[in-house]
Amino acid sequence: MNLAIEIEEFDKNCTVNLSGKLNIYSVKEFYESVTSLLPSYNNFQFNFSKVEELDASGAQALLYIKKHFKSKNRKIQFTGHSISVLKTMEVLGLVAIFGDKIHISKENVGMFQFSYGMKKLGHTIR
Amino acid sequence: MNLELAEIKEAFITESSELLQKMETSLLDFERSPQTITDDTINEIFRAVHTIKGNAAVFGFQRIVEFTHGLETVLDEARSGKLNLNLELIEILLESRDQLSELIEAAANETTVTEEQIKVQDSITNRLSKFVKLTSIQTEVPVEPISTKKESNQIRGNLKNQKDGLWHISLRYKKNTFRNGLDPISVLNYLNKIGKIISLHSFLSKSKETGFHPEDCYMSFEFTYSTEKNFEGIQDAFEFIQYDCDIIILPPTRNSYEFVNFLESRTETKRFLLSILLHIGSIDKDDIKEIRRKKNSENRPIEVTKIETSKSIPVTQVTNVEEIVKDKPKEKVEAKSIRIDSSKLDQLINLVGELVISGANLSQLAYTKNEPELLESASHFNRLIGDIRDTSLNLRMVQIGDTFTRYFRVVRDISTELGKDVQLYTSGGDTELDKVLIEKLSDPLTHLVRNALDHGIETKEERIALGKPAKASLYLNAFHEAGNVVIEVRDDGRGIVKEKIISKAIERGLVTEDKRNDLSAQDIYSFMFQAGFSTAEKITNISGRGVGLDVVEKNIKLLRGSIRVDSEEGKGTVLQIRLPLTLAIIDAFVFRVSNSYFAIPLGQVVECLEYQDEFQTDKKDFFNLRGELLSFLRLASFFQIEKTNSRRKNLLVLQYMGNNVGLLVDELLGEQQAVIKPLGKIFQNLKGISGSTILGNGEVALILDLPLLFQKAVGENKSR
Repeated sequence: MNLAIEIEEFDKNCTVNLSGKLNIYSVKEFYESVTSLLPSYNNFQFNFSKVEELDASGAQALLYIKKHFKSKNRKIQFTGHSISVLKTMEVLGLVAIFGDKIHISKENVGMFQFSYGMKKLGHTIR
Repeated sequence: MNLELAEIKEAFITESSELLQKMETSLLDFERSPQTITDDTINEIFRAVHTIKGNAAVFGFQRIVEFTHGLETVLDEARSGKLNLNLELIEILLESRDQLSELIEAAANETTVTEEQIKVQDSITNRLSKFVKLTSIQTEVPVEPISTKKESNQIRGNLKNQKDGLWHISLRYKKNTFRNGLDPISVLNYLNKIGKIISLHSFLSKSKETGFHPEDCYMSFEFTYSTEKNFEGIQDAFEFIQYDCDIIILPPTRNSYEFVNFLESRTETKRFLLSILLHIGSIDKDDIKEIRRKKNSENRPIEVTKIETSKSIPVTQVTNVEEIVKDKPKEKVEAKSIRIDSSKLDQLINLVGELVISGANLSQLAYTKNEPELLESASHFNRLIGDIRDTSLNLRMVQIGDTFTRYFRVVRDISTELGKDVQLYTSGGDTELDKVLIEKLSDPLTHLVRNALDHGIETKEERIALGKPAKASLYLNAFHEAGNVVIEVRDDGRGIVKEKIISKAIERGLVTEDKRNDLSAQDIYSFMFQAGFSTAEKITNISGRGVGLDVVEKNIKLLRGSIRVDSEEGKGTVLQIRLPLTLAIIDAFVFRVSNSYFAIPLGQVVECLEYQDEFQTDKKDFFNLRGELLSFLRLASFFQIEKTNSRRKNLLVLQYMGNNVGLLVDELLGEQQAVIKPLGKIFQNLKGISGSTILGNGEVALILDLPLLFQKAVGENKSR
């Protein structure tokens, strides 16, 4: 098993702890189990601290899930970004799009530049 | 070179030749009546050159880029009014256009440019440098335009960002990318190695309707990129994903035209894309205004401006110029049409052909079963097939106007060379003709035009001496007539001197002296179509070698057409090419002789009669039809078909070259749609039969070629 999904629930809140690799091999299962949670809870928190790999398909699924859950009036938050998750988010410019708070430990700060993707897409075009 | 790039290159070549054609037309317009030319015309020429340059830079055709760069500089000066476009300059620009065409051809065939071409190019550049100071160009592709003047920038639509030297790259991954084991991230990482992604925006390009499938790829990127590499270098980075990704790379020299095209080619809404481009800094707000302006000006119908310019023509010139301009708006309309691979159309026509055959088969069956409902249904079915046939054949129809336009240049060049003053007028440019016919017509038509210019039209001095206007007129006309298309080359030159032809014919033994007075005008003109026949006193490099009219006639006959000459000495000559509307499917009249089936184009049938003994005359090959003599052909004996004892015979009266002729046949089977199938190579030299078709009952019918049939029949009669 590539990816382990562990769910903690408290009332209408739900925390999804991921560990392992979120990539093309696990993305389908991940997506299906996460969307099956949608009707049961109001607040979602995803913890990525044990994610060893996030590929583009995984990032794509997160991108969709975030948007989709929001459109269903759910609160959804990504937390505990691991280095590999941050690497992927950096190159795909997803930090502002996800819009979550990110904590990077002091010793790891030098690994990232985040030269783009830090601002939200403005809607200034008529 | 990969497949997709080859396709793009193909598009580049097609586009370039269209642009060059436009450029030529504009230049000739200019030359003809400089006072009526607006800035739009110069802009059009400029844009043509500029677009070619931009495209060539993308492919790294350095020579084209260099050459167009010089032209661009000259045209830019002309556009801003600093340089006056005079006749000398136009002459050079026309030569440049030819040179450019050769360079593009060389690039297309991946051949190297010959030394001679280089010489020509150098001489053009030299002569151009007399007018403007030509600055050389950096060798790095893409090319930075030299002129950075503010107002010219606006016209050309260069975006401000070009000074930043940032590329814009747009990626849309295809559905199966992930399944194919590719990860878009690795491409981005690689790009970051050979350069630097400055700003990137990712989004999912997916429609709401289809839902989200986590294993499908919806990843899309728009980003700005800085690198030392050139276009090809960047493209190499995408080598592994080129089949899984739709890539658009816009160079730093991109202009707003390219952006407009780019926006058009993406499925996302323009507003969404523009907000992304603005976000990543690929464009700024002024650029958006520029793009909007450009788009609006593109949407504005071009015809309107054309008409306005023709209104401003001085009264004295109105008649001439109006005629020339008449065909113009049509050209523009045509440019709005879609481009289809002609092989696809051929495939369609083939299928329709098969449909026609099975339709005929169905009718036949319905007829044998004789059930009213089936008959009705079959007839309705066949009517529909007929409509489909007409519509699909119509798809291949092309207006002849574009072909005509080409002759303005031919006439201009040749008449200058011969020291004659000739104005070409065209009419009926909207007449439609099968594309294949138009392509094959080009050579014969060129020949006839050259002939008219060389032999038909007198020199200026001669014309003045004869009291004719010094400027000769040459007309190219096209029109429909009785199911045929007629293309006419008419001049107001010296006409054909019949005596000269007769003397020459006698000299060559084509006719004997004593028959001299029996010859009709058409007989005399027919000598001109003999191989090696020429009455020209001197051979020029344009015509007069006697190789020509016979080839012209042969080519036109291959197209199932005919050619006719009319002339009045001292007044001029008319050559008429008559062609069938299409090559593929015809309405045919089918009949039977003994056990063989034959078909002829329905349009040629005048009437059908039951044979009666009272038709007989004392002359062997003539019938008396209502008091008039009708020459006829016994098809059975002509083709030596074994005779059967059919109870009655029928007479088909056909029209051939304005005369009625008869065919004696057994049974008339009536009208049918016939798909013309060519005969095999073995039968190529068969006289009198132009093809075959399959009838509804599965029988093969031969399609008769009337002109050849009667020519041969007449020839045999004479020799008897």
